Amino acid sequence: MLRSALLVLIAVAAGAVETITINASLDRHAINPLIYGVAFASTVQLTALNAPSNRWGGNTTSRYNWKQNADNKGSDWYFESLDSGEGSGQSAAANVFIDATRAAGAQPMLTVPTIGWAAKLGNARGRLSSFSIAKYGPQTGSDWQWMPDAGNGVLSTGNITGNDPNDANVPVDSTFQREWITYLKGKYGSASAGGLRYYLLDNEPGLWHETHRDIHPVGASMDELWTRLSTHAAAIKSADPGAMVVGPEEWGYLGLTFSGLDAQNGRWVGGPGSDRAAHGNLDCLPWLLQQFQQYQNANGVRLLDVCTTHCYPTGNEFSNDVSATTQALRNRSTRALWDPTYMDEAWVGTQIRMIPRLKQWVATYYPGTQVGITEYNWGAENHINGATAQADILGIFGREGLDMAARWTTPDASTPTFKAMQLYRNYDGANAGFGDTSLRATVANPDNLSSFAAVRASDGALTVMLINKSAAVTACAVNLSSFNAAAASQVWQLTAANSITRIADIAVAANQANLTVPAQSITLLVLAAAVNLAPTVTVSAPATATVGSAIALSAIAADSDGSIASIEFSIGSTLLATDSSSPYAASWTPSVAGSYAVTAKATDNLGATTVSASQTVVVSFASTGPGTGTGLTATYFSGMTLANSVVTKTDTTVDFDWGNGAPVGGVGADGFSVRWTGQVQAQFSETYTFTTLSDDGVRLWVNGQQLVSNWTDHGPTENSGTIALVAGQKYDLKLEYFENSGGAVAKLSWASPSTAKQIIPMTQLYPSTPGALPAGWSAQDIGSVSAAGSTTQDSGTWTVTGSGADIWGTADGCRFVSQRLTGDIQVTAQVSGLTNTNVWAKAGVMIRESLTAGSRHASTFATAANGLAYQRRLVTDGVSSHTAGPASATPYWVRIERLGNVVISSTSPNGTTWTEIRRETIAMSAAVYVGLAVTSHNNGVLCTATFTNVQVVGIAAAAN
Amino acid sequence: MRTYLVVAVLAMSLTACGGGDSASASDGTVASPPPGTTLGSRAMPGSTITVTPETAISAGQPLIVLISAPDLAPGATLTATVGADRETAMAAMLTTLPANQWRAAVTLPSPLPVGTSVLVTVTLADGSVLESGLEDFVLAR
Repeated sequence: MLRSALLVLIAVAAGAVETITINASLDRHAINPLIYGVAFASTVQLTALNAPSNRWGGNTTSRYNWKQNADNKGSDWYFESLDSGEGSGQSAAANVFIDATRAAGAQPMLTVPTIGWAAKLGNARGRLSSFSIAKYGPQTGSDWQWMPDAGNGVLSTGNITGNDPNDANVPVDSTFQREWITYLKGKYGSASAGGLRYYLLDNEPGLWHETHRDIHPVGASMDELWTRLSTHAAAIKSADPGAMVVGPEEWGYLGLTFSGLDAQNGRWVGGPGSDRAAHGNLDCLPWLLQQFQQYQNANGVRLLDVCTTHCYPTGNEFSNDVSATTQALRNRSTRALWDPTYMDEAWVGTQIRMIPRLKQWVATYYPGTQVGITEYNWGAENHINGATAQADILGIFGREGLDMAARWTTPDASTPTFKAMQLYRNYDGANAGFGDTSLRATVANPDNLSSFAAVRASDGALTVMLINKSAAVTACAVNLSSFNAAAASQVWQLTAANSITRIADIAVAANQANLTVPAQSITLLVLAAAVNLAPTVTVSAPATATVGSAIALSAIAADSDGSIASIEFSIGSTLLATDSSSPYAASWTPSVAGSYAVTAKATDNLGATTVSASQTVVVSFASTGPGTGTGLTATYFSGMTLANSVVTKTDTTVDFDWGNGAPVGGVGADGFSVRWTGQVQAQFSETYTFTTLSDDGVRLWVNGQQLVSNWTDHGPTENSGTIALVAGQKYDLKLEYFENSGGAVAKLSWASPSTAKQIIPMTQLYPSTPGALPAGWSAQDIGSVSAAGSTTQDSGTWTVTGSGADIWGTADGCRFVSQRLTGDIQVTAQVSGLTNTNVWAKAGVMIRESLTAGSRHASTFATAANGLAYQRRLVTDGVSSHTAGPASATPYWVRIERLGNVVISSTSPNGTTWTEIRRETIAMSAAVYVGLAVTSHNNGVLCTATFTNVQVVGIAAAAN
Repeated sequence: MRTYLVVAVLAMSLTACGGGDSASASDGTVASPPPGTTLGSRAMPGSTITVTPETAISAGQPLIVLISAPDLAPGATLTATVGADRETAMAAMLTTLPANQWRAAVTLPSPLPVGTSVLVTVTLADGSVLESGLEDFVLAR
């Protein structure tokens, strides 16, 4: 005992501490439980392993005759067709396998033959042989014990050729197998109703010319493989559409790259005349995946769900050899499953990297297909070296994102290898196992000590597998990040003593666990998650605010057992902003009056959250003092059609009761009309009700929006309409009126929550200047234009001329007339006309971040001949993008909106019914330019666009 | 190299592998064009896109359409979806053909909503995105 302890101390002292770094926030992905599958396991084995699946496969299953319950093991046993046992009933042996598997709660994975022949039996279910000695002559081997007439198919001069495959077999096709699937569906239910879910397409077809040379003497070509795979997959899908098809079950790396035909002909490098050369020099599996994709494109049906191969080590690992040399090779060669730098050390002689290779192939040629390794075995089942290799493989499967695996076959329950598998699925006898979400785990040298980590959804525990492949006792420092572990970790261990033992817990402190693992051992750490205390947070905000003015919000947060990851500020239930660094702050500019609850939600480094008590902010409208207006421009017309102007003057208000008299000189007492134009300025940021009192007809527009329409003969009548206005902002106003006969009245009032109904006072009315732009608007050419544009506005009709190559690419050339606004914005216009200087000449509404040529923008355009479109530039000086709208011509209505960071482009044939072209998030500055844009798409030539019904909603931005 | 196969086969054999309904909507029959009839063409910046069905347009059945954009500059990539709006449209499987043509396949929903259309998205080599409109290639009116 003393001697042993001394040796351990020496070993520990001799080796450096192995550092294992676990980061719970990196490389997180789900581990598919199907990677823990086995083959031909009993119910007891499946239960002890808590195995998810059990494969019925191998050479025997290639010729399984479900109707006769017979099989032929090919070259594995003298090419004899044999009774499969379990009676003479249809599918009897398969049924027993399925029942045993389902009894353990596992999924059967059943091989469906595609090879085209099935075993047949003789009289009284007797054996039949493909290479009868009586028929084909003496051979170099025979089944002397059970069927002396059955030869091995090898004459003293070489292999027998030209034998009759009907001697011991019958030809079958996909219909025969479809009947089997239908039978199984009838017996066990459909896949979607709890029946069999996985069907595997035969077994290692690239070796058929060897293993089944009595019926398939010529290597399978790529075309033959595709035909057999597709017809049988289609048969399975038609019999049970919910079933998953798994294939092609090839034998290994070279089987994936070369067809059986090329292999048989020694064409490992392809070249002229090879099967590979006839298929575009593609590797065999990629070519097959390409066919599956094309089939799906043409037929809309996915035939292959899981792309699979078998994978064995290529040296002496797959044996019971436990010499030092083979053990070391076994430790290294699991790299062939994943490591792009690992060169196969035996006869393949290349980098296999099987799992990433499979994933890359399906991503390229048949996206959406899962990948699996449905046979593998690294040997030495009864030795701890085989166990460490097995544990390493299962860890690799999970880390690399494999979707399905089945070990060939199932180790005996007494072996270390079996127990290595139990560590992943049932280490405590109560089905506790390795976690189900893989995490990043790094080690110095996986040939000596490998490690895998995963969190377990059922209890949040972190599980860490430490696989010491070396012959040295090894000191380990397990460093944890992004996981808050409890103070102690369970330790479960398998050593050469061949039992899973729970040893004393180890301490976890300062995110580190230190332990010493025995030579050639597998250790599972189970670290419970510590209880995470929620953070604390309070929010501060001013008690009052005004519409359109920014206020500062702040929060104070702390986390007693960690750190604050972020603070989310919300207004009511709407997230306003997120701040991840202290001091935590946000800015809010309210756009609507009311009472608001402001909260802050703190999230700590482990995801715990706390929402603060709310602070109430009362938002009221800003107000301005009286304006400086002088009234509206009034044009009086002789006649009721607003056609023959007689007098133009400024009316301080619209407050007229002309009775039976004339309104002005030169106009009669009856049969006249008047148009008032100019701007109205609100004193409060509120919704205003505009009211007309008229005798006779009247109609009113404010900011391009028609509020009143009663263009009829009538006695004194009130009509009203409402619109939200911002204090101090001026809006276009147009009021039209006609008098037919009798009394004549025209009055214009307004009211708001802060304004009693009154005739709109002179101070809030401003006369129009013909042709001039309304206050707040400006116009300029953008980018490189060879002809200067122009802009006029008269009585609500905007005439904009513009040149420029285009509004497209990385820089624009156009005319742009705009206001500078902030907050939520909507601009609407009717494009009434557009000259065709080019089919792509454009006129429309635009929200633009700056006046530089490469500015970000979002626009809805009408084009001269190519319909309507939403166009935008998402990045300053970046490229432009286009989404087609209706293929309609002008006149047409266009609209662009910004709500938060979301931009919405819409069009309408009539200004009433709107259709959205697209909405997307575009991050532009708070203050933007909003208005009308025109490009001739023909630089140097001016394009003329007319806009009517121009409406702009938004808050005027401060001057920049 | 033949030797390798023999070795492999030997290793394997030791122990291992020993082994269509008519499209309809709740408010009535939906009109769809027959195969071969172009759904439409739409001018986009730099190209015109045309979509032509190669199979019958039938609810619940696979649909294959030919998409052509002959003027596209080299380096463009294309995707296609099918749906009545952009958010819920289903991605079609795409095969690239010569001469700026693509074949797209998708199984149509059943019933086939009115307004279902083929939505084509082109990404040009410089990153510009061109998207067809909801009214350009309508499968069911």
